[in-house]
Amino acid sequence: MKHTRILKIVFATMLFGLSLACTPEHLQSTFDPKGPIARDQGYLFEILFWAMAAVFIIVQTGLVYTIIRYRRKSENELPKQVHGHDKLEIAWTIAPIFVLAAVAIPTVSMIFEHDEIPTNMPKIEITAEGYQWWWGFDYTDENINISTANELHIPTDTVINVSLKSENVIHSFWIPKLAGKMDLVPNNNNSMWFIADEPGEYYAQCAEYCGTSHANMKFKVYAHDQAGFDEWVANEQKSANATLIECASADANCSGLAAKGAYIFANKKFSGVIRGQQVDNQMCAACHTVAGMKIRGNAGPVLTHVASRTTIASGMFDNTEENLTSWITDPKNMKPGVYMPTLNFEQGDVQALVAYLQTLR
Amino acid sequence: MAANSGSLPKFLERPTSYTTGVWGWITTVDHKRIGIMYGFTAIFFFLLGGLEAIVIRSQLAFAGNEIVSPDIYNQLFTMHALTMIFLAIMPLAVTFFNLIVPLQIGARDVAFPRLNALSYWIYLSGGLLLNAGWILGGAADSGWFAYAPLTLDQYGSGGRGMDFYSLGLLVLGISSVAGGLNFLVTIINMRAPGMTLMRMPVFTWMAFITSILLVTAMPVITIALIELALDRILGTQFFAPGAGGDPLLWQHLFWVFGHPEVYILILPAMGIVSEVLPTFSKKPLFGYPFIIFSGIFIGFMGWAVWSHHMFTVGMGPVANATFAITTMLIAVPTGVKIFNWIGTMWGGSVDFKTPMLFSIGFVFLFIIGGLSGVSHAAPPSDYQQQDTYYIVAHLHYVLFGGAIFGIFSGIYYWWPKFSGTLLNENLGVVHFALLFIGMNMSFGPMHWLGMDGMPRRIYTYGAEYGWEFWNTVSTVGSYMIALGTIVFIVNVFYTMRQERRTDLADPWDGRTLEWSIPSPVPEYNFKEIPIVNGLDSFWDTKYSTDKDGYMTPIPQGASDEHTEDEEVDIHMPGLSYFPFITGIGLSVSGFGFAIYSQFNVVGLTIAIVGILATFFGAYGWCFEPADPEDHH
Repeated sequence: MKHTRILKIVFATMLFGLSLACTPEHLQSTFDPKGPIARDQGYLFEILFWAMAAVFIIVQTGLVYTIIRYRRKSENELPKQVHGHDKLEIAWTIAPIFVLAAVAIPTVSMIFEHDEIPTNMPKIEITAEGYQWWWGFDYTDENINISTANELHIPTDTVINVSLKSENVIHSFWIPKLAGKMDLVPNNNNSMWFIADEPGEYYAQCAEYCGTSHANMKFKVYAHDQAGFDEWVANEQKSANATLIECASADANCSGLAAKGAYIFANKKFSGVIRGQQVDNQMCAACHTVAGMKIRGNAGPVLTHVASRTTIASGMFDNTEENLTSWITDPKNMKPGVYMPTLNFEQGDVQALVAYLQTLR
Repeated sequence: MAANSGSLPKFLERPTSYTTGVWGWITTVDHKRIGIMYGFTAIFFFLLGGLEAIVIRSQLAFAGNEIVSPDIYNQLFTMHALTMIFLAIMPLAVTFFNLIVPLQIGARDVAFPRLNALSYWIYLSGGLLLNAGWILGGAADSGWFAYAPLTLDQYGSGGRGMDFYSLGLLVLGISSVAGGLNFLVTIINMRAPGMTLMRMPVFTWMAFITSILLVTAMPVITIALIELALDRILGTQFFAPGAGGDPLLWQHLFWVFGHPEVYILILPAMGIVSEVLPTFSKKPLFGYPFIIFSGIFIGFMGWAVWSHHMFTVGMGPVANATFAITTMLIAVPTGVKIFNWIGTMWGGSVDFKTPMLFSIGFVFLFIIGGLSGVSHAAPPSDYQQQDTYYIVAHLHYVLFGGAIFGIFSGIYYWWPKFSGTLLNENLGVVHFALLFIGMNMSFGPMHWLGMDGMPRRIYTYGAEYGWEFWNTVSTVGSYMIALGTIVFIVNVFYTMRQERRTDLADPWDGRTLEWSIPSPVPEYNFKEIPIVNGLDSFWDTKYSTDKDGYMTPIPQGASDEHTEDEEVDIHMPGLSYFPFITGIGLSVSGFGFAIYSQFNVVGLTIAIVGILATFFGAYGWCFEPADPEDHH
């Protein structure tokens, strides 16, 4: 009677926990693979899991059974003194070797299998660069040849071959639903490949601790069907809002808030503070590229089509007017440790910059 | 000796008068007193590391929680690991080496008593040096394995913590190597007559293997730390990527040390468990030679698996496959140990006293930690688990469920030997229950969180990821662990206030030599050096066993004729100031170098003072007479 009540409580608690745990979407679950690499890796984990679960049940049952059966029943027990059993020792030395061999074979074959890039599928080349704390993506195929940041667009059913580069600290490139991680190590050229099966939005995150805002170094992967991807590429290849690019040059005669923003972006110098250090002569374009402009800085994310992205600050905030305004006004307040300076803007500068950035679709 | 004493400077005379008080502790070279100092210091650091863990868990209890800033959070998880590994678990193991090994091998002290004291003083001052960053502009914050080049100033948070990291660990390494050498020599040379290697108690065996690992592994990280310190303080370019430095050099050096280090942490606990299980089952250890040789094999293989920490750095398929297989191989000797431990209890008379509860808990939890380890021994599976909470879960099952449970088992088991009191059983059971439930609640869900995509070392996460519920559960579990630890502390204070008993020489019906002498242990340990006739030779004085394994108790009491107050004149090593001076001097010089880049002149001055103190200590040490002057 008492036992059933305890059992009921235990099950109720477990169900409650599961219901809570299952309600939200599992944005980065490795149990929900959407591509062959992640699926294979999950499959190998499953093999290992069930093999280990079997060992777990056998050994723990043996342990629990032993301590219950041989619990001390009286103070004067004098158990038989057994020092060992050689055949038993040999048996339980060899048995695990078979279990391990059984899991080592699929492991090793998968390592080599995934080392070969499939040749029977279309392939695109992307270079992913890790920065503190954001991502740059360069599409290096000649027919694509674009640069973007923090949001990676890919076609489905295509091999995505990613070269991984960092010139600062080590980062790790990880899209849980598409592929396990690979590190970006300075002075070491790593690469990995993966395939997305179906169009969708996949969450991704830097997995190697890389400093103050490591937790805020996320990115998103958008997988499109081929037509959708081509459309995205075509838009990226255009320079966004060519008329405003003209306005960025000092002698142009434009009017309007966005035009003023373009001018400020490309020309106006500010003093400010980066990570506690006073700095002078800071200019947006010195760090950020907008394709078509003369000055092409590369210390910060490419902004050519920033308005078409869904988030800013490497996946931290939705790309809204309000968030952009707060971000430009005082980035360190939005993202701890950030290398973007807090600048001494004049009245109206930020508003103009936001208006300009929002035209960059 | 007495003849040339007149020519010696006054300061070289060995102190004789301190038996109690602060100076008694500072000048002591007695392995038991040093062990007790190790123990209390390590428990202090254990509580400090636990406090750091509680803040970490509180921050992660809810999505978007902001109890501490990211920079503080990063210092907390870095210092939590460093404190627990270098200042709590390792020294707690050394505590037992000090207290138990000489007693188990029938020796009166360790081979080099002053070196032993030096190890302690370096440990204490080095531990403070490692933590000095907390009050001097930030503690270490690059993670405990401190991957280059995040350790360089231009990429870090700007704090000075990594200076204290490199110098602190360098200084602590000296303590570890000195301790390791000391126990190697002690165990090889100072065993009682008749105690062959294969008659040595398992704990001493594991201390022996651990000491070999300490002596061989610490130099590797010393090289890495010297390079790091030079990079940071003098501007060399070992790890600077812009100058062609290779960050992977650090990773290889670190993990060539780091993986044997894992066995440095776990082997002593395995030794403790191998003593406790037989005692509380009233049976000899099942498969003694297999336990010993699997320990040796684990220690040896510890050198051949380091790159499994680096499966995702791009070593290529051949290296990954090789290290996957060597790593899986380690499961074999570990399994052999576990089967033998169960075999020990099988057919025994299992008594669920607190030490036994912790040892059974160790076996249960270590099985889980070992099995989860197999799933990231396979690189393709590890690509998803590396740097996630799955790894955090695994390492805590091994180091908390393993090492810490083993250490608590040892504390409850050997406590009476040194205090003449017994820790309270009821509080002990409560302590165990809270720790066991709390630890499963805290670290169990982390397996799921890791597979659900939660990376480790993030100071915050969004509610949309669905990680909040199990993080909250985990935090509640960590509070239970904290509560259990408080119960333990209460138990210690409660027990220390009790009167000493004289009937606790052998409270558990023990098997090894330490139970053959009175509790608390007299200064000279053994009045007469025992003669050893076999494994568990003390047990054989209490029970006679026929060839089928059936025991009959041997009537006791005949040997009680000599009383406690009997005058004994046994040569014991004298007190000395110099280990203290040498050890503190080392840490002071480390402190000077650590603050050098901030305060050049002051730092250099402090460093020189520290070096001079070290040299003065070493000089005095060399010329100090072997015996106190007035010994006759």
